[in-house]
Amino acid sequence: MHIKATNLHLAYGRDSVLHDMNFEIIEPKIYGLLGRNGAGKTSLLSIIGSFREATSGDLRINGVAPFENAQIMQEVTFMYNKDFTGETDSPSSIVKYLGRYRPHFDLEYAMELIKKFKLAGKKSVAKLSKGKQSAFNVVVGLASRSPITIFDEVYLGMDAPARDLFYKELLKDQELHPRIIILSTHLVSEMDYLFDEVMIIHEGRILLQEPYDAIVSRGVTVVGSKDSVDRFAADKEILNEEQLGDTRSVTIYGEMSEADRLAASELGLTIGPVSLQDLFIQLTKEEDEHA
Amino acid sequence: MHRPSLFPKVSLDLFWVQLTWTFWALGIHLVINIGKIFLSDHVDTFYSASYVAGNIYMLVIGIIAINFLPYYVEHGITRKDYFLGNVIASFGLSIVIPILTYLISLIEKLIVHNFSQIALADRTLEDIVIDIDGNIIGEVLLSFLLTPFINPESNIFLSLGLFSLHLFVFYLVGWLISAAFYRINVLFGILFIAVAIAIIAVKDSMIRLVLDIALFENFSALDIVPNGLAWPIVVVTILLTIMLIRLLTKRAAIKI
Repeated sequence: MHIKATNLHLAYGRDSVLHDMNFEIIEPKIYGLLGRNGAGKTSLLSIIGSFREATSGDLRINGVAPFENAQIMQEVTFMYNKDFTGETDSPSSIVKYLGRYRPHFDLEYAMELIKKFKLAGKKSVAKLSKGKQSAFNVVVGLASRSPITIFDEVYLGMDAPARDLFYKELLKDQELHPRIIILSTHLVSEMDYLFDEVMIIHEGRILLQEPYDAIVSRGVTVVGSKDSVDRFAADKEILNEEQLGDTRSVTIYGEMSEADRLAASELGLTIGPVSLQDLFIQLTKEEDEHA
Repeated sequence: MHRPSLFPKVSLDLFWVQLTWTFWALGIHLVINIGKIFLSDHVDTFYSASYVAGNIYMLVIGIIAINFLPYYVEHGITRKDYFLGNVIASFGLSIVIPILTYLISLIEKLIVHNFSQIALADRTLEDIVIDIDGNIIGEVLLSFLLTPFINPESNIFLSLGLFSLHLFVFYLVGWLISAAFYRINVLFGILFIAVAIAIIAVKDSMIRLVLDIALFENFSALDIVPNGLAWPIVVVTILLTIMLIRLLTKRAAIKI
């Protein structure tokens, strides 16, 4: 499958949420979609999942508009934090019917996951705890095995062991059945190792889309004496700076050339990696939040 | 890769789900009806009693029907397949309910007739004295409760057909109202309640014309409609309602 957005724009009335988005998702990999609250993650994913239409611009899946396209909609699963009020069936009885609509749904796998996430039993989904309801969303999303599977922060309510189980299952199942998986999240530091590629959106715009390895090699943390650091960082894009006494630490965005590394070592600076979370925080910092 | 259309599957599933609810509703209604036999000396047949209760029941499940929209879209079904599926399901339901109530009523009559002296009444409109005072709200409410009725013993097919028609229209207006609330906002939802009342008033008045039953005073202007046009107007009203529901749900965003 192949997703392509061209000048995608979405507005709710006068309120513009997505501006001129252009991106392409081609390979069956795990994509991390990062963005702050209100950045437009859910809105973007809603368009991919055919939950709503873009106001203007174009979103195509395999070359066609997904909205109301029966063939494409069958291939896309969009899981979000669903309100299960009034759902009187138990997880195991709900999944039995899902295969009727989902062409790739694997009931056996769904039942296995239900056991692993301790969702077996007759208790209705509405009566399960928030965390268990989230786990149920995860079960449905994984077992649907849709060529495009989207998890929009469904794991937020889950406790740490359950999230860990989800990450493991995700990687295991992705290896056996590769598909496009989009994970939107706030839990950047916890989930970064899952991402093959990262998309950061900010205020309705794509800030960057790059492979995970490329993204973390793009930034470095340079620590050393104030003067040396200032001299080294003079012509570079500084994302963040901190100072304690005479020691200064700067986070630099942009690739380090061999000459840069040499210069840093001559100045006695220590170069360390930058975490995706640090990059994310710095890149999406609002003007008034800069210290 | 071409897959067969999904709406037949959706219609079958929606029919079964709503039929299950219907069994519950019929069961509860039957218990009430039987209870009345013991407590009161003038009791309607189950069929006759369901004629009134059925409309309200269909209105309510019609209102719930919009909730199937997000459910199906979430599972990769188009709004079109949901719409077609539920039109067929609700039509099927409207046909099955009168037959079910008639059969239950027959059994009830048989038992009551053999084991007691109680007479069950199949009411007709003429039996009910309507205090026509020209109050439009009162008349609208009455038209909700007193949809034109044909005694099954006088013409079983016309009686069942009319029963089905009422049920179908009540379901559609319920669905229409909830679709307007879902798609637009509360204000439009309320506006569509008015539209729904108008749809029911037109349908009832036209059927009254065909059956030669007096119109409610507020709708007496409709008397000018030639009898030959009454049925086509009913059909057009139903088709317009269905089209309105489609328009409201065609591009509806699933709000999450």
